[in-house]
Amino acid sequence: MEASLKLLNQYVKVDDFSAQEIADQLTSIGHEVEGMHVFARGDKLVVGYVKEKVPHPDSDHLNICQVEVGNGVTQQIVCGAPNVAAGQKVIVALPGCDLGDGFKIKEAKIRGIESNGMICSIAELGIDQRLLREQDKAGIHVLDADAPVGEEALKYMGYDDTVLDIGLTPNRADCMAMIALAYEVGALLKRDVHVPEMKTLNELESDIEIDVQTDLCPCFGAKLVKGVTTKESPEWLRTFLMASGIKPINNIVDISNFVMLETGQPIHMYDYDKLKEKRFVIKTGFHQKATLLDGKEYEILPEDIIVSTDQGIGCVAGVMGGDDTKIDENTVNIVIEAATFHGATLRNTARRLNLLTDASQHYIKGAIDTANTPRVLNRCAALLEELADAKEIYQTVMTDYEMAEKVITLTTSRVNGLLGTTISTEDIEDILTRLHFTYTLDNETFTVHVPSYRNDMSMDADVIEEIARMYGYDHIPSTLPLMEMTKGALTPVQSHTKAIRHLLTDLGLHEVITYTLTSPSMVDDFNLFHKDDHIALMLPIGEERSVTRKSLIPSLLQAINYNTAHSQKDVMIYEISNTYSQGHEIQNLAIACTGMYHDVTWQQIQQKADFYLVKGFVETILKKLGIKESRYTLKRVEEDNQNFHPGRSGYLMMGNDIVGVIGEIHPRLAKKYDVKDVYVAELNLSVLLNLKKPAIKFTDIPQYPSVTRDIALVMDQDIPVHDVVRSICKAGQRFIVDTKIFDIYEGERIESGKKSVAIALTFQDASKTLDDATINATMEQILNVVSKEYGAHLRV
Amino acid sequence: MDELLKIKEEALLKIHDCSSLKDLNDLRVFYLGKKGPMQSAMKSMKDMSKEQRASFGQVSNKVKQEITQAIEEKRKVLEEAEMLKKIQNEKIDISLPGSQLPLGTIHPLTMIREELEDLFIGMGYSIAEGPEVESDHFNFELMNLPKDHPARDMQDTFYIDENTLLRTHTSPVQAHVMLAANGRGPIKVICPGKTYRRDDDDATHSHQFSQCEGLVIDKNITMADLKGTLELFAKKMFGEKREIRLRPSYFPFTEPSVEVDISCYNCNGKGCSMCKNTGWIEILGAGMVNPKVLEMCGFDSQVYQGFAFGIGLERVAMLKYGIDNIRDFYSGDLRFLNQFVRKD
Repeated sequence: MEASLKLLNQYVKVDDFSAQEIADQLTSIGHEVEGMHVFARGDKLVVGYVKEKVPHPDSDHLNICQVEVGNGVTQQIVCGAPNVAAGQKVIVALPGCDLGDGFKIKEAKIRGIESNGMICSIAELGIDQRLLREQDKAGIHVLDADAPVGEEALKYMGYDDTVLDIGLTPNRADCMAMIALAYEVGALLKRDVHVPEMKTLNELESDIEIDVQTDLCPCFGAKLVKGVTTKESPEWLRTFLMASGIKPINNIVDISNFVMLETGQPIHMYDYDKLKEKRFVIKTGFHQKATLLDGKEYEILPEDIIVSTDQGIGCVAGVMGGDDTKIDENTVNIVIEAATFHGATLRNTARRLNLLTDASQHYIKGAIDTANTPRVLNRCAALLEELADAKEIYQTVMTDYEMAEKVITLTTSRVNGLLGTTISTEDIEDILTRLHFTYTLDNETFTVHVPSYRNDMSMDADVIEEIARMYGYDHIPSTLPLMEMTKGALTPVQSHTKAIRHLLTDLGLHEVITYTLTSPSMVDDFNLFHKDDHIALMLPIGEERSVTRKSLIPSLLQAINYNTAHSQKDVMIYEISNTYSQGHEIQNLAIACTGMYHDVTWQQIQQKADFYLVKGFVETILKKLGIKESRYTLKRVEEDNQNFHPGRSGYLMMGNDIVGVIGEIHPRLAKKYDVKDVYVAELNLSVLLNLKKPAIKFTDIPQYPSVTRDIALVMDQDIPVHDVVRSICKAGQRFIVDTKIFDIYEGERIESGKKSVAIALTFQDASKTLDDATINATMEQILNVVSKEYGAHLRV
Repeated sequence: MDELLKIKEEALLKIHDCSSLKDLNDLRVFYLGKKGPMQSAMKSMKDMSKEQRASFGQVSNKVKQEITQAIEEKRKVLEEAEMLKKIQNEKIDISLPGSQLPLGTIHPLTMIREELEDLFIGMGYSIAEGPEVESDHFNFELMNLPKDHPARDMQDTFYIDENTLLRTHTSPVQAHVMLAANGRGPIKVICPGKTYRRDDDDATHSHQFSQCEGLVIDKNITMADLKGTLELFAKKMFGEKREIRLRPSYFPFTEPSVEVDISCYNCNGKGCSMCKNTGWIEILGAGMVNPKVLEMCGFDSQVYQGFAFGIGLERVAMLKYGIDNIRDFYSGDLRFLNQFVRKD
């Protein structure tokens, strides 16, 4: 909200503080001042008297004016305004005056004539143009005849104001009312707050009837005022409204806006003479089109709260009045409405109609002090009498409304027990008094009566917050919780996730975090772990982010695409993230690699990302997690797999379950994601991190030497080497402690369709030194097995 | 005898003049071997008297010793020279780059998260996580945001159906933790995780972001404890000199609620562009757990009280590292990630 300091000063004295000081004070009690600006700008602006005006010899619209500017000084000023005249009191910008946006007044010659200043219009003072009248822009501003020459013009006009932009917290919408804000300042500065008198005037009996037929309107008050004259508001009112960001219209409208500004209560006015029946029925259930006072047609739905008049739409409650009964410049007799409506209902209406008016915001945010309704109507009537010459004021007609007074109990020890402070009972008394909370005190137990405008108070913690605000958060000490010892640690799953993250990073991969939300056209790509439907948003921002992903691979491919498009050709990335489908949450890990993994070109060392690199990452992860090779297998993907290259991809299987995948992406998807040569892996961490694993158990370091024998086996090309190695290990029983494949040869030096696999076998016996005879016998056993199982024979 | 001395002189001279280990070895074989001049000279011993033989033997042993010693000394010299020569030849250009071993990065948001985890684990907190696809009940109702609350507007929340949504904050994890505790304290957790809001992405807004919630509940937890805890957080994340300032604010799930500022680390509180000349930078929201929340989550608010805070990880990372576009976190751009290669 925008708060004029001059207006605030009407209710509580603040003009002995600088704007910054007030801003700091407000911020310190929770009303964050997010910015501030001067209402009107210009430093060397003075009241001037146009002593003489003669036409410029060289222009048909310029005039040469002799202007008294105080201290006996008369300046010659060339003025182009059509309305300048001798005898006027005007605003003069003296040389050196900075009117903002680089516009600085200098001594100058205008068409050969010396001009030492400028006579200003209102529009030249840096005021928001939206708030100004046509006449403010059309010509210079003429001040009252008694304006003292030489005085600072902005000060004289009351324009020397600073406007604070306050970000009110949602619970303190009451401070949209300047009076409530003044109470805050008053409490903090320990100053009195002056609330305008809002007492009943001499009143006549009203013929207005009210019939509230919905509980969405807990209070409705109407007051008839007759004999008003519509005219321009006095300067003080216009200035306060403008400084508060409200455009002045005429005295009647301005009064309703001003009363809302002052009290937070939106006011609506009906033209009494346009009402056939002098009766307001507040209800829901209308379903029709209606023209509202902006002249536009809107569709009213049954849920909207309507103040109906003559069976029609008198007002869309709290949002905008109807066209039929609106006041205009000919209105003489007015019915003033001040009511309380259900904010949430009103919010839906206002939003649907796209009419989030200032008034509706007061209801939506809950700024209304319902108990104050009669006084608000009195204030309105009084101002109409004062500023619009109202002749007759009628009694307020109001629904029966009984405001239950809020009473909250708290004790001094509870206050200190929650805040960790040592505030005395006397200090609490002082603070409650400053906040206009009344209370009774029994020993150290307070029974607090909350003022009606404090809609936010409902329990002792609320009042304790009030005490803390006024006591000052800076005075709260810093301590650490004194409590039972708790164990701080990551859970095993968290700790293993972290270990994987650091492992992959140390292996040279980059962790990325990408968006959970993806497009329906990608959501099923690469998905292996989710069997159920994806989750779709009801109201997405765009289709591209409308469903939650099941696989992380598409996101990684997009990141690769982005990087290659920005000349980053070698991309090794991974992401760990939860994925979702209907009713399921799975923690996925995905790796995607393209380009050169390790590249020392001048040394001819190069390792390109390929299947085996990614497989290596996965195997290293499994090793790190303590998942033994015997617990998983890699099974080639289906021949017709659509996501992964069928010849270069495999599922990581545990029993019959797919717990991961390693492979090259299918060329079709490479095209879809516009990437090339990308190798990926995706693991289901929800399964892998929850496996039962044996504890680490140390075995003695072998004391006897090991023996290594190399063999080269010739076998059919399509026999998986891993299977052969497994058989070798089985056949070699406990003596084989290590196998290392060191060459695979396919080519002209052996039969076609065959390959030669060279393997180094390491033999060792924990209990003795192995002799040649044992090794030879084992070798023979191995060769028999591979011959029988795979038709493999020693290469000669 | 003279012959022996002659052999010795000749040998010592040749050893002295020898310039390679190979030649030296040849000399050793020649003079000390079985077919060398010494052996020939020894042959004359058989004609000598016992006394002569003894004296000849002594001299010959001495000569052998001297030649052996000379060869050993020469060998050391030659080996040293050879090594020096080899070293000369083995010279490389040490200015060439070392092997560029692959070095990956931890995402900066994870770095912040891990720093927070380390800090709070050290103070006895555990780490709780909760679902990102969350029920309306947990995300809003239990956080004291009833149905009509403006903050739970359709416009701000990614709803999946009437009762399900993508969580808008990590606060619902508080409710999960409290309900799991069955009304018995103490609770001391932080809850980091992803959150979502229906915002259009730009430099300062992201529909996906991350938060870290903190929650401590016990019988005597005070606002002063919250202040002390957050002070430690500020110093750990932004340096020992940081101070914090609490300002009253409002969150439905805490009462009293505060915004927490840290003294500007750029200007040490003097005022600069970073802190908009205020000397303070807004960093997080916190407060004492609202008694209504405690009750809804199974705690007796007459017995238990606690504090909660919520940290925006992007905000911390942006401030700490000077990142000005929030979208950078989610692009996977290596030029961004590579800047976080070192340990902070």
